[in-house]
Amino acid sequence: MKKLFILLLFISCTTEVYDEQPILEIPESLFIQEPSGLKLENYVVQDKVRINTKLSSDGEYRIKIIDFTNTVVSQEIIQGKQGDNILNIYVNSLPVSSYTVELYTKNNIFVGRQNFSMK
Amino acid sequence: MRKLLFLLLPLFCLSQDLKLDHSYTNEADFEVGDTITIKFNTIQVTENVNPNLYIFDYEYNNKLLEKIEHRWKVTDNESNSNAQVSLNHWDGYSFSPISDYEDKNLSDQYSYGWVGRSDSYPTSSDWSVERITIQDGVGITYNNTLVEVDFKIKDKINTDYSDYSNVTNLNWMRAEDNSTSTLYDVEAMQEKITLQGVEGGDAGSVTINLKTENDKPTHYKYDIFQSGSSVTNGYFDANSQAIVTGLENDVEYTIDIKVDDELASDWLDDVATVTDVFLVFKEAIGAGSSPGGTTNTFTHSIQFLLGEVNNSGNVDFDDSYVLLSHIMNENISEWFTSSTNGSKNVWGEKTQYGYSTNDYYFGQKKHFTPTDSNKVFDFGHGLIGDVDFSHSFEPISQETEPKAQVVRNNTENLDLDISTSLVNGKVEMIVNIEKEDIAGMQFIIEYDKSILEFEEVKFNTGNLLTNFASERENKIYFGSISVENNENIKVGEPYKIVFNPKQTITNTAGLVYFKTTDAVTDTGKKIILKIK
Repeated sequence: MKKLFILLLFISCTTEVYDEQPILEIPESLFIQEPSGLKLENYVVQDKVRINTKLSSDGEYRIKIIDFTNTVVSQEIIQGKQGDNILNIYVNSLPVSSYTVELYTKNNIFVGRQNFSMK
Repeated sequence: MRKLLFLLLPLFCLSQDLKLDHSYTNEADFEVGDTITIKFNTIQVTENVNPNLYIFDYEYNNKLLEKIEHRWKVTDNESNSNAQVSLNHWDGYSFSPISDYEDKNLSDQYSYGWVGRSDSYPTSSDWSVERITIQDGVGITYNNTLVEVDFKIKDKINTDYSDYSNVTNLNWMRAEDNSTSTLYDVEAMQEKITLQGVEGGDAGSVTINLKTENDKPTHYKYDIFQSGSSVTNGYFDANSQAIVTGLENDVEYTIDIKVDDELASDWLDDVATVTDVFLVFKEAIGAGSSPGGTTNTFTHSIQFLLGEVNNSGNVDFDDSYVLLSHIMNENISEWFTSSTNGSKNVWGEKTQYGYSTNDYYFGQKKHFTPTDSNKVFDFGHGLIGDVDFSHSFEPISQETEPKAQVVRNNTENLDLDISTSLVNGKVEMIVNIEKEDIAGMQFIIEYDKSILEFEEVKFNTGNLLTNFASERENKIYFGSISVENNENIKVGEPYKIVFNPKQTITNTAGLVYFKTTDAVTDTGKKIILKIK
């Protein structure tokens, strides 16, 4: 009986390999319900604003900042990972105005859009 | 008998004993503010008619005329020196002639139009009525002036009147021999007075339209002069218009239109770009000095003015080097538009702008004259250094200049891929082009200097190209130009700009702002770059 207990204990302690995902704490203000999308933490911005780019798959994505004349005035290519990606939009180099942030795949397939205004 | 009556009826109807006339005594060259004198006198028609009592009404338009004074003249006449005279005045009434009789039949208008007719003088705020009464013991002589009335011509601005076609009217007249109570028939000689071609006066709202390709019309100011003195000044609105008041009709004014250098400090360096450099280079290579030759690149005469940026009097290689230096962030001439030099302005009336005459150098006709019928004026504006008209009005092509082509429409759109990335701890900005015939490109970018430090621009443009890059404050100027026009910019990734972050950053979005882009093909065609 004792041997059986030790055997069971051994079996129960056998290491099982799990694919551990880092748990990213997503603030409620940046939570996105849908499988992919874009969300800004604030819509009136000074210096910088946190954004969540929620992606359906790993890959290269474009973050475009577009002015009111629909001209791209800044663009970044990121290496995105599936799920939530908490990033920043830095605004100090931009003229004080209102802008649209758009998220695309590398091949310009639209993912999400948000607006912000600068103080 | 009946037929005879009908035959005589017109004669009876046309019968008259005397005429009453009124007319101005001045030369018919009136301006608002002038004083005019209107005299009244009678003219004998039938012999042995000697009335010794005149009563007549006339009226004047008080919106167009302002009464100054009246002078009795009948008593200056020796025969009537003892005449009794009277003038009564009412404001706000106008005579309503009875329609059964002609307006000019003053005696019938008296007998039937005024006497006992309660509605003969309805109120009318635009008119004032004066009644002249002259009575003497002897007949009042004809052809001598009875009375003179002085009026000042008022400005018709803010009235309902478009002209001065009806400023006075004769209403009715009673002419009588008082000793026998005989009434005489009176007809008006000139029933109403018209003042033709009255000039001057407040022009009201005059519209000045600014013609420019620049999308910052509110940065342009105007100053309007008369005889060297400023009359009014201000700024154009977002609609490129200035609504100007305080001007007078038929007065010639001169207008200055200039950029406010302080407001425009952010874009003055964008006026002369790589396209301008390339066009001036090509013109210099053509070695032409006038637009009439066959080797010219310029298609408008005024490009020789806009491209002459070193005050030498000619467009040559030196001008192209001045502009090339400018886009390389070196200011070696004070004669063109830049943030260092300020704006160098050229302007002229739209249809004349760009076309030289003996009076107007490169068509810079700066005069305008508001009139009753013309209160809108268009002025083209250009900036020295801007030969591709990116911030300037391109002259209207005239049939007499078959060579003139539209420069602004000779453009091509090109999608451009510019992006930043975080690579091995550095921020890299890469320009990617796929077009093969680009002979010149220029970029101005701004970056967040609190986070980034500029390291370098890596060129991969070709062997024969002139590349340039410089930093000023938080801006980086970079680009390339094929000076000898032997090689175009390589396709692929000709430019990589590297920055070092001063602090830990998660990504690069917004750290670099794409301020200005410009490009030109090897044929001189301007390329409108659109970042995709």
